[in-house]
Amino acid sequence: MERTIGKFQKGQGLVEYALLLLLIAFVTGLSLNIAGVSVQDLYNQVTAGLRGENTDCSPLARAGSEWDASDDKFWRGGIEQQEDGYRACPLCGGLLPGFSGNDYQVGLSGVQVEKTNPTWNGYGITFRAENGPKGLNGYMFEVEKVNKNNPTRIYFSKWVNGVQIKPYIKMFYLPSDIDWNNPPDMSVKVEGDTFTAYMDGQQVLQGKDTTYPTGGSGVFSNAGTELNFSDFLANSLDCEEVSQ
Amino acid sequence: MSFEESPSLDLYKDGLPSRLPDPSSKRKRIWAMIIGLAILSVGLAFFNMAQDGTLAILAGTGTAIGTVYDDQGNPIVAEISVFGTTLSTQSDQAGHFKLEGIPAGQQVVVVAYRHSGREYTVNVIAGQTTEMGEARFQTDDFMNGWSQSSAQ
Repeated sequence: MERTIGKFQKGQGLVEYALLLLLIAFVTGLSLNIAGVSVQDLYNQVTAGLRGENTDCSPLARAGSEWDASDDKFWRGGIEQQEDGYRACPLCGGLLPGFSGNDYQVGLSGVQVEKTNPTWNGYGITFRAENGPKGLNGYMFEVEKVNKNNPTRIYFSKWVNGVQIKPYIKMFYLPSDIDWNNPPDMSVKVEGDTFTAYMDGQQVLQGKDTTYPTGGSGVFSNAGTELNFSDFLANSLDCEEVSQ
Repeated sequence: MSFEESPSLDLYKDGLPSRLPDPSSKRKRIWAMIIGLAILSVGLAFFNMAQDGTLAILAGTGTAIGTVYDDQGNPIVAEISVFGTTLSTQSDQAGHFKLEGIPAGQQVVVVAYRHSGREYTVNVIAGQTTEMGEARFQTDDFMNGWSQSSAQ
């Protein structure tokens, strides 16, 4: 009888410890969720760290033969791989397939543009974005020249269901035009609610928004521009090598 | 007595202590932690539900009405949706819209026309109709490459 009680009491102690561990795991999971940290992302980061990945700042994702194009008829096409890089036709864009994250930096390099129209020249980077059933959801950074009478502007915009929300998150008219024959490389650093844009390594714009905490990244061109570029990649914030 | 509750021999190295250790104190501490964590879990779960809108659904739904005008002040047929939900409707020829079944609480209503949109934060009250008033676009809203090139 005493032996039975002893066993019961010992078992009860283990149950209490199990309950405690379960509650700690539950509280941790809920706290991470509230903080907007994906447990899956965290697990991937930890396992990647344990495997020794990314210690050499290898990209999280990089331009390749495949791009995710939107089914939204608003876009005229996706991005095509060429012999010496990539091409986006006017009003075309695509996202890096399979890539999504919270905080990262993305860089577009080797940019060349061809003005197919005297108006609405521009190109940019899409970030924390996804192609939803109704169109693009996410953010964009763009350099844009409306026409020869307007100064070139740069801005962050938000997209909801394929619709560009006005007013822009942040916009700035450049004091002098960019050299459209040798257009700048650009990169965007996405950290928490803050987005920082760079052109040829110089910080040019900073904006804040909390709508989308996570998402992928890609490239697009404006309606009057054919965009050619040599590379586009996403890297972790620990790596400072993304064309800044 | 379970193994975890057994006192350490160190307690008796100077003889019998005046106050014998309470064998159930460790268990009491563990239960206090369990209860504390359980209360914290409930609080966090509640906050989580409030954050992802589940609480708003449980709180009930309401209706929003309004009228949409273009940059010239003309009523337009626009698409109206609630951010983070699949709820959407279209305004009629007079620009009027009525969107039902919106989760109660602060909601962002997106009014979209020609791939440009404006956001309106609306406080939806369960079982009631909220008048959003006029949603009016501005000329700059349609200053974009696609609107201009499609008009050409």
